[in-house]
Amino acid sequence: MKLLAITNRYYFISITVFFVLAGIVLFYSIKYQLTEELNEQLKTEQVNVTRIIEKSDSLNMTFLLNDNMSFRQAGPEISFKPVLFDTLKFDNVEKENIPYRIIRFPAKSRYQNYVITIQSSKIENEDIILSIFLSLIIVFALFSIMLYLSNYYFSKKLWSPFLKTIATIKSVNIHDSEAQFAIDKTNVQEFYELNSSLQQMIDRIKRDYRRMKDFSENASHELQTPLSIIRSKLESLLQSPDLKAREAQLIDQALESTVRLSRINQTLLLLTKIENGQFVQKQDVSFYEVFEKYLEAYREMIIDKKLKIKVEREGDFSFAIHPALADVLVSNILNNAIKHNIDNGWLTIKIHPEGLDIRNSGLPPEYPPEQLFNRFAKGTHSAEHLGLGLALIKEIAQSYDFEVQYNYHKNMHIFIINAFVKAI
Amino acid sequence: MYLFCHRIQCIMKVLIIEDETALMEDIRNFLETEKIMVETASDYKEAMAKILDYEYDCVVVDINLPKGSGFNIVNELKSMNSKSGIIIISARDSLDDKLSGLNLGADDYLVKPFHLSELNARINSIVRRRLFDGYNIVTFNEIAMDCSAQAIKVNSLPVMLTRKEFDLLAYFITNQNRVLSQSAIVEHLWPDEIEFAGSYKFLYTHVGNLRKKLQDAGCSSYIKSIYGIGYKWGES
Repeated sequence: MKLLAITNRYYFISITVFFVLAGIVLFYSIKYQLTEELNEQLKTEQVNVTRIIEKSDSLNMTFLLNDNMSFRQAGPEISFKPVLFDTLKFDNVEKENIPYRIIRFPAKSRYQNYVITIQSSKIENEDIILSIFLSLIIVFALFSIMLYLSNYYFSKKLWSPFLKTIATIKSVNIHDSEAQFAIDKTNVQEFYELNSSLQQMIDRIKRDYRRMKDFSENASHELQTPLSIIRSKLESLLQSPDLKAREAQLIDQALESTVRLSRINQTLLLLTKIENGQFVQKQDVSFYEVFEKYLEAYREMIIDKKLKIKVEREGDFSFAIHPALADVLVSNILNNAIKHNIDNGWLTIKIHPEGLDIRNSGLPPEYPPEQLFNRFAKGTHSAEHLGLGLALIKEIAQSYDFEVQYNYHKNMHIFIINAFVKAI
Repeated sequence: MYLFCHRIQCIMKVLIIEDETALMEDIRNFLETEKIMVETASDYKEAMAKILDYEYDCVVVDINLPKGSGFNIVNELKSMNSKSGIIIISARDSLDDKLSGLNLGADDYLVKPFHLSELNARINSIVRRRLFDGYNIVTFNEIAMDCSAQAIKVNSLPVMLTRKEFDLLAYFITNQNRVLSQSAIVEHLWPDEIEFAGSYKFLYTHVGNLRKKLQDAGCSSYIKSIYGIGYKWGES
């Protein structure tokens, strides 16, 4: 939800509450005022009528009668305080009930006691209240519209530095060590603080990133030199003529471990590089060709395991990718499919324009499929491999928005790469 | 019998420029035979002095050197129009370095750590290519290998080998009389991306095929299996 919509909503709720409360207060106070006004009128009337009756010599008071005044004669003992009350009377002309304010009081002439009732229609008062409410609603509507519009324009203006900042942050690519990300200066205190802290943060992240990159690269390179010395020493040792078989094997095992160590080192470095997005360059790669290349490279392993290979080509899967990563991807897929295969097994590679579908025979995985993509997850079927192959595949797939699925079903490993997500 | 160049039996002169003396000594000991003479330099200045002094058949240069970069040495060699083959060895496995090294005119780029037998194979292959271009025959007793045509003859009769078998044979002959571990052979024959550390069962079949083809052609048995370790090529 947009900030503007949220502020509008809150504004609307608060002015509605305000207008409702104001309406209620206004309603009661106006109503009270109007009733008071009527009461005053009726009381004045009462004073006048009382005075007229007291002064009148006439026996008959019918001259007093009019539409709004009526009286009846009362006994000599009548005495009560004047009462004021509301009532509804049916009007024959309007055919509806009309509210009246009524005063009833006793009055004395020289000859007779009376109970006098004076009424005053409240219909005008109600009209007044109604018209006040109508104007209130109109004011409310106008106010809302004005608030909405001004909010819209002012917000846009007020938040523009913020939007600009967001756009700048979006464009930040920490892998690009050359580019500078200068966030605009602004006069608004809060945005100024936001921008300067963001600027500091970006600079810090870039610095840390560069340090981390340097560190992992340096660490890995620095490791390679002692490793190569160890390896050359062991290899030289292996050449000495009077070596016993047992000693030679020990040396060879140590040598083998240096090979593995440097491979782990290189693969971790490669993973880091992919994670850091350091493989920027892209070119269209035909995966069919890459598969052909690596099927040839793995020929001896395939022959050794007596695997039946089938390549189904439903068009080519061609994709803009760093060629070295395409190589890594395909060689690791084949590596897995061959290494975890059984003797006399099979391997089917289906290449279609949206992706790859690789199925092969093999023993059931010892890990749940989702864990297989983790680094150093490996089963006991072949303890020697590094356990980084699937992690590499996942990392490459992620950096190119491929979808990777792995499934195991009845002695069949199914490995699917789908790039249609990106293609659309 | 050792490596034969065409016409004359020549001695290859190789310069190793490497600041890690421990590594340098092993390289020297491994390479040095009757056919290869090794000179060494452990820093930039010494290396420069040596390349100005003599034209080597092959210069193996480390990029990170005290007092200078190996790239400058490659540059210098190229500006001298040197005929030396150049192999860069580096701890940096970065594509950029590899490309800039090769663009400068280096013939090969080898990432540390490497097998000494691998370095030996690459030096031999480069020297053969550069010096005896078009007439690139390696012989070992009754075997004659034509490296440019990728064909071999045993007792003057052609023997059909697959590419990998040919490469394996060339690797064996280049590194004759040396113990070659399985991992060294696999790393030489298969591309880097292929990770088969530890499971070299297929290599046994592969070597077996080559052995059989050679024997069928009447070749003596030169491949000696060293149980659990690898192989050694040589006259028994």
